[in-house]
Amino acid sequence: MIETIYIEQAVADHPRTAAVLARYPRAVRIECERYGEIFNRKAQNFRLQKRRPALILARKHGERVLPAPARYALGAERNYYFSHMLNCLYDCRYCFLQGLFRSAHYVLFVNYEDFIDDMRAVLTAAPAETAHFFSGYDCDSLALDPVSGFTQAFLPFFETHKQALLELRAKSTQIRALLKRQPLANVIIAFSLAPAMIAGALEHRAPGLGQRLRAMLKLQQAGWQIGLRFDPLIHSADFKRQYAGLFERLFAAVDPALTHSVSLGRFRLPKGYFRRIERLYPDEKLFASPLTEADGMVGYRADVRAELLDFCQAQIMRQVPAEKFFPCEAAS
Amino acid sequence: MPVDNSGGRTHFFCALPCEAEALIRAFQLKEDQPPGLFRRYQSASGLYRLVISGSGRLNTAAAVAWHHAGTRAAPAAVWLNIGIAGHGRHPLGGMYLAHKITERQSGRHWYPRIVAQTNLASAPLITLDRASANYEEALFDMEASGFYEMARRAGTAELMHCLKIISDNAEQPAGALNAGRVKALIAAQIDKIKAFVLALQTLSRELAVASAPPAAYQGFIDRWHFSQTERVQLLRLLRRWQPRLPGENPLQSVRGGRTAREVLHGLWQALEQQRFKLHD
Repeated sequence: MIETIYIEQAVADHPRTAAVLARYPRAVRIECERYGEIFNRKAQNFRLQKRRPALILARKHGERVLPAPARYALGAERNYYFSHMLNCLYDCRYCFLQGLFRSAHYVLFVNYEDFIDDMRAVLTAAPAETAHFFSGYDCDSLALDPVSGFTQAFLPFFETHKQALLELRAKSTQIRALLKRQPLANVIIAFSLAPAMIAGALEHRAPGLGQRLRAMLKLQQAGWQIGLRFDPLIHSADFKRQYAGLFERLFAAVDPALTHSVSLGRFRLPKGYFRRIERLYPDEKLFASPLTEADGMVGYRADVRAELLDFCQAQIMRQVPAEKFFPCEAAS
Repeated sequence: MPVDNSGGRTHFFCALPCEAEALIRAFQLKEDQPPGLFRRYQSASGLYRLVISGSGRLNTAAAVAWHHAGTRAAPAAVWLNIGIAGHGRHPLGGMYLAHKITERQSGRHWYPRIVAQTNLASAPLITLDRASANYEEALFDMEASGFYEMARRAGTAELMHCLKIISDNAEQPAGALNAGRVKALIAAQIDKIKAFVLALQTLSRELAVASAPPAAYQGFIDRWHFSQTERVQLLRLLRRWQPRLPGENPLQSVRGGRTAREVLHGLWQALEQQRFKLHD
């Protein structure tokens, strides 16, 4: 429940601002000049703010569509990511956002039209080439969709630009807006997934595995393509049993023809982020995992990482054709 | 003086004695003797402290700085500026949290983060250098910006707030205000103030627990000599120990260690030998 909404002066008259405010008629409204006056200031505590985050409505200036990290690639040469929102409604303990931002407030950039113009410019620069756009790097793509109208605003662009592909990365089951429209072949709803026991321990406030699975099946039944993202892979003494169970359950349920891709990601965080998160949650069991530091990153020890990746990759390759599988890195 | 790391410590700042009186009574505070630069009161346990700053944002900023220097309050401490304020239309006696503080003189803004569980209403607040009868749709005071600007250097944004009780408005201007009336206005809100303090103290204690060293830490420091770097390593290992080996005493596992280096290695080995299970 959003109780406080900060509104940048620049978007005070934006129609999307009015639409969001209409969803929260009882919220306290506070005007500000720039969202940076509230978001990410010093002396804030992410853990405390997560108890009662506010919503900040703002305009995104500067670069809105950025080259994506290599690990996001799904076969295209040109990969971009964009963040119409900063921060997530969920509270996953492995999430880098806890270390990236000092603030847990949600920032919603309402100038979608500028994002879309930037995407159009990317496509215009090389009209014959495919470009993939990834959403969900700094937020969950769908969690606030009923309020933000994100998919309703962006999908028409992809409907008319077939050389572009959009990945909506999510744990959310807010799929009503998607189910109301015709599926698009160049839009993938990519669900982040983890075994139920691991998700229960780490993915606080996120929909459970069963809920996500039901949402995926509904989307497939409606003709949408889905993606399966096991990112990050999480180690536990019984991870083989946990992940084997997850893969068995998933691959028995989903339609392979409408499964666009499967990818893996490993748990690793920049050292500075890790230290910050560790200070926020010193009793968190995840941070007592067999972790090591190398090249400014904190991640699983090499032997643990290799065992995780080798096992999960082998399991997935038994179910998924190679052309649909995108491991984040070569297994050992 | 070492930093005071205990959670829940609460520091009140009031401009005037008449604003402080109800708080002094409610929290059973006694004045420090001999007095310092500012009149300061505290409870027997030291959990509550109150400073009377005098009117104006500069006095308040100076009082916060002076108090912090003298107490080395922890980042997890609660900081509250409590006093009266004017408002264009809100009825007299109502109490509000400031959710945006504007310093009229400089045009600067601050945005206190309200995350504590409270039913208190909030409002924007404008800090003026001189009292004004030109009421607007905001709280008016003369201290909040000075308090907030200085307090945020000492503490955590979610734990510092300005609580203002309406003493005058466009229909009933400040002219008729006197010390007795101010005392009564604050006293009438004391239960709500206490409830808000308790909510903030809950957050404060959560932070203090999260930043406290593990229980076994001091036992190691007392027994072996650790360099600063080794102390950081020890803290990390002990923090991993607690969730992985909750029933076992880490001191027992390394009792034969002769040096800090051996002790750290022993802890690391004990942890590495343990199979890691994330969930119960």
